[in-house]
Amino acid sequence: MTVILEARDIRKSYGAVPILKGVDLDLTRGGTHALIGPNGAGKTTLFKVLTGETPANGGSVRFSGKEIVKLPAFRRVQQGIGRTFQVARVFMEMTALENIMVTIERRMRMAGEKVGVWYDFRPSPAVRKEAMIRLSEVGLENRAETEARYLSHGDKKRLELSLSLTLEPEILMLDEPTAGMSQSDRHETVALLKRLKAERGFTMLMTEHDMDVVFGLADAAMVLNYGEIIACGTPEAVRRDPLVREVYLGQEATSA
Amino acid sequence: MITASRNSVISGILIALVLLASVPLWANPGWVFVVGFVLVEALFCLSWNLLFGFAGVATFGHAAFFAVGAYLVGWGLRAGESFLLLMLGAGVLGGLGSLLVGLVALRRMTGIHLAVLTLALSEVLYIVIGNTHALGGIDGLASIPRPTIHLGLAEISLESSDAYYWFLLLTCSVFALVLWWLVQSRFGRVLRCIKQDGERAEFIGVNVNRYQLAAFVVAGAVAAVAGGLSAPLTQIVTPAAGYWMHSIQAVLNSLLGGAGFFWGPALGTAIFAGIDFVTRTFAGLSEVVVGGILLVIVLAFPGGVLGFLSTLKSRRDRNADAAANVVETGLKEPAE
Ligand SMILES: Nc1ncnc2c1ncn2[C@@H]1O[C@H](COP(=O)(O)OP(=O)(O)O)[C@@H](O)[C@H]1O
Ligand SMILES: [Mg+2]
Repeated sequence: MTVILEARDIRKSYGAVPILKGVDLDLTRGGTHALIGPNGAGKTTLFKVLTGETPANGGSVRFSGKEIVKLPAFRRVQQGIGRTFQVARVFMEMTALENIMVTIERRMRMAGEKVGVWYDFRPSPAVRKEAMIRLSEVGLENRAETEARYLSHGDKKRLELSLSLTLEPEILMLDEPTAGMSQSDRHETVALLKRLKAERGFTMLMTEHDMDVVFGLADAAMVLNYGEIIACGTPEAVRRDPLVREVYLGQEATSA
Repeated sequence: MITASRNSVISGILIALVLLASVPLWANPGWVFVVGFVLVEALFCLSWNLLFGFAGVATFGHAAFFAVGAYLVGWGLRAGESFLLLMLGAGVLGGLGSLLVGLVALRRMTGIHLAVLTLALSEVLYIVIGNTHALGGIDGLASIPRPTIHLGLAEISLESSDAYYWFLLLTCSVFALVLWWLVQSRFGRVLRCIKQDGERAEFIGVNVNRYQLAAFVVAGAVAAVAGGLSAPLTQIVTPAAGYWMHSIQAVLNSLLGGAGFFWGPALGTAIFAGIDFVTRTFAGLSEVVVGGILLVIVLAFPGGVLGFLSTLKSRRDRNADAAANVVETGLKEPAE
């Protein structure tokens, strides 16, 4: 198993408050990794540092062997890191289809493919066709012409997922992919992620609150607590870890 | 976004062009001058709104670029330089100026900081111009001659007001259409992403900074071209061209017409000119009317006039749909 992303001693403070206190993290190529931990542990902050949304105060992030910790976010995207946000972010005043089309054009542009002449009024038919296929992959084919802001919460998340995957990232980072979803939506999302993962074989890192989701998807789990990784291993091993039971799983683990 | 169909936009543009081109044939010279002035201002406002309405960048010092173009062309024409070269120079200088400002400001600033910085820079330029004797100081440059264009063997004299008006209409239309095209193009689609969610744009791999800088340069260049066109029209250029009031006028015109619509700023400019005209004999009335209209716009129609019209249209369409459904069921029922 090769390591595709290797983070060492990541530090991040907001003002004088240290949020990440020297985090080490390895992602194996093709793996599904879950980052768990109580609210406020620093999971989203770690995502921000790994994706380049905010600069780290110290540490290194190597992606396929290359140091990327100083690169701006868009460069990391160009190298193959994709992400979703805890609260789905898509282009709200565009239709679902337009969201995907503009992303396809971006991907082609980044890959140096010919997208068509720059002054074209609309995306090419090939782009539109691919976008429709991608929307139906996540079950949004009937929402293609709906402006994103009118989509339901779950549909927004699906659209964002599709948009992130459109860039064909090597690593996909999902910040709470099932946050705020109903139980049935959650099951659907897990099934969807499993299927997409099997088809594309990208490496996945997700933060998640719901243990069912973690056990349903992940082959490795890391527990972040107050800015420090306190355990990592298979989800089973992590669940049995006494320290983890104490700080995080609490009654949930004892009752399980 | 609700948009009119492309065909209706294009026919609207064509009708407007024909009407505008015919103005010198039926209106008196005073009117020709006023319409020409509105055209220049409309182009200026369109260039500002490329930033605000389409790239998500608000600046409050856009008049500085207008002034750069106006002074360069005014000064050059008085010195007998070639008009076309001067216009080219105005565009280049405006573009370079905004490249510089953009390089300094865009990387670290957004929102109100950027707005205030551009305002401050334009005030600096205003004061510098007002104190530069070579540019006429506070009185500006007067008696700027109307140009003649030399095209190899042919010469086109723009000395008559009507000739200059037509040239102005042609140039403003070409630049406005180029801006329009830009907004519809793939470049424009990326700008729209940036405006709607800059962070998301970054995470589909867009170099947000570079795109905003490009929009900044285009906007600055076109504003300078508008300024350049204004010099031979008014035949006088004063520091007021770069005063903050002028920058804010672009903001107001765009909001009034509808900043979310490409042609909104042009419509807003025309409406403001109309208000100025109707209230011209009552000192202070135009400010009151303008203030009142702005209040109504901001409170009731944040999308501006075009935003209001498009809401009306979508409501009417919905009613029409509902009516159509009634008719349909009305036909079906007896058959059942
Ligand atoms: N922009 C910020 N400025 C200051 N503090 C922040 C900021 N973002 C997050 N924090 C703090 O950092 C801590 C970790 O937050 P976060 O990474 O969102 O946690 P998690 O995603 O694990 O719930 C929290 O205590 C939060 O209040
Ligand atoms: Mg979080």
